[in-house]
Amino acid sequence: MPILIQVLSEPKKLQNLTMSQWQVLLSQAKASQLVGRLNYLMDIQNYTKPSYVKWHLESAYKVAEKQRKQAIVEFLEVPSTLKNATSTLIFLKGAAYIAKNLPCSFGRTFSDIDVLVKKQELRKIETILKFSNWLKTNVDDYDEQYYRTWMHEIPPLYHETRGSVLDIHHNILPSTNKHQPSADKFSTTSVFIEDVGNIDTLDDTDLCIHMAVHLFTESEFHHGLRDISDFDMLLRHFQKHDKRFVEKLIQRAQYLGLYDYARLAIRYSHIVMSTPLSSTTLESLQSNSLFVTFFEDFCFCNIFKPNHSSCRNWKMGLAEFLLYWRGHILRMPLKLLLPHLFRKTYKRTKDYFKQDKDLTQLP
Amino acid sequence: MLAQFTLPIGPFNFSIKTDNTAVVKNLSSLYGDYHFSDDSPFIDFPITITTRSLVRRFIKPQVDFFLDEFAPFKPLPKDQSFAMLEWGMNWCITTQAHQFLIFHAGTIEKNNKVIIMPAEQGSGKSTLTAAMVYSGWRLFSDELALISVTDELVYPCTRPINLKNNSIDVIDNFVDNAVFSTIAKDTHKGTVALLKPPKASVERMFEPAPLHCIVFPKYVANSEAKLTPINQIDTFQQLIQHSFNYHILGEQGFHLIASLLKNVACYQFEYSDFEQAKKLLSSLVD
Repeated sequence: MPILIQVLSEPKKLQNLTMSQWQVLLSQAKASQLVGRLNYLMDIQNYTKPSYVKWHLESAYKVAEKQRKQAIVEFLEVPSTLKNATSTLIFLKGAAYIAKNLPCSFGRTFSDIDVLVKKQELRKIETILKFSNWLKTNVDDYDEQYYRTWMHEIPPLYHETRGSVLDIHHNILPSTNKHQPSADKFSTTSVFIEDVGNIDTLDDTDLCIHMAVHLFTESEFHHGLRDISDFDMLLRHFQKHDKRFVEKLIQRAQYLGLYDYARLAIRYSHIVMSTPLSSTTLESLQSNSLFVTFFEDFCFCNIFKPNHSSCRNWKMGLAEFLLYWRGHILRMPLKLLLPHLFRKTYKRTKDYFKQDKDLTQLP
Repeated sequence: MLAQFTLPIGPFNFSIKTDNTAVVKNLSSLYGDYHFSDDSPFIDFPITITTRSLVRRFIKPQVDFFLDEFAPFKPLPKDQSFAMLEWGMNWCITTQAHQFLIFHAGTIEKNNKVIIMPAEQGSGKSTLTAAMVYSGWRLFSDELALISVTDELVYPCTRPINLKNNSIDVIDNFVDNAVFSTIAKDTHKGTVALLKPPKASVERMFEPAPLHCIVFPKYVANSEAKLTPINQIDTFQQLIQHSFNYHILGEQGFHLIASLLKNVACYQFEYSDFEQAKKLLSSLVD
């Protein structure tokens, strides 16, 4: 088992590692964007950090803390900019972990702030943001069209002076997806943020379900290990306060019609990250079909690994391939998928030959 | 891979793997004075310079820079490979070493007193740094001033000096027996060559020293060398503009600059002649 996964599932192993173990661990953690998390896990236990690795851990943590501060600024700015345009504004994912001060938010970096709004209010929201210095990122016409027709979010916006990136969702999943959970059914909760006031985010169970839905509809798992570790930390944290949390989570997912995603997340969080679960829960989490269980176990046990040469093998490559197609087929019917992939391949080839022209991005 | 080098550079350990003959040749000549006492130190930045695409080994050859397995930049033409390594090393430090507040500045030391010279790209700070370190000052860096957030000392990051365009000839004339890397033409910074650092500076690259003075240098053709004191608020603002990670350190960075400015003098510095510059800068630390 990769050393990174060993220490994430059992942080006490972070004591007494040798220098060569740290060398591998740090490489794996950097490739998985989990260096800040290691720092957090060591700090809460008061573990001593060897001098040669201390600054690596703490630098990553500083970057995450900077993002936390920036997110808190946006908790104030975005709702106040949009106060006359929205009836609901719900912070999701990384921003929600910060808002709720969850353990997995510490040392965690993210690229954008995700919010959920009502689709019918989208037009007004976009107009107001445009006049409040939120600019469009560089998205070409095809992508723009694709976003508008099929996606559950609009192309990301970035703030001209603050540099934050805002991802505006108006639904849970793309409209091409097989499952179509209604965003209205998700239940929200209001949290108080110091110096900001109250903002809305999903309540505990729905936060976990939303995360599971996104992780298990992916086709590329660039942050797969980070995400399953997030989920593990969410479960461990909520279970500490409510022993029946996982049962409630499963019931809630059934009610929302998203049981399958919750099942996968809980099962692989347990298998990969050793999340503590009761044996009855565990048994209930298998798929009915032996073949499906075999397929899922193979794919997910191999994909949730550090993307680093120290643990890459043919199984991981095969899992990547299978999950890429699984993700795309879940996400859209073949008659949409094939032209889309053709278009993307064409564009990638064209860009490859164009790249000589612009090389001036070095410091 | 053709070769692997393990280089201690001040507070960092780099390892550099490459199959590129130009990189090997330049590393051997410019980093000839660097060595480890230890056989297998902890490597902070494992770097590889190689060509990703098989096609690009032969047609319009290119090179890639990898930090571990991650390629942060687009490939560059092969004749820029050594320059790319140096730029990439700067990138490693400025994006990850947040135990330091880092300024874009030439940094030199004499009598255990450090002067940092923050300036824009192309203002002549590397040229001035090169001239000073070959006139009795110790080289910390021609690009990066690393100030520790814990002990507030300046740490050396002694490496070859990056010279551009006319500066290459200017320094070649000024320094006896200067050793340069191969010259890379038509880079995004123009023609670039790297100058070997003085041996005495390399030997003392693990010795930090306190900050004594902040000098904002500006080359003005035919001018008399002149130091003009500037106030702390202006210095503060200019320093922030020249910092790589002030925005990440936030409050910690603010308090560090505030504390430094209590004890150091700050000047604008105009110069055109190295001899005059030498005299004036030395007067600050004597």
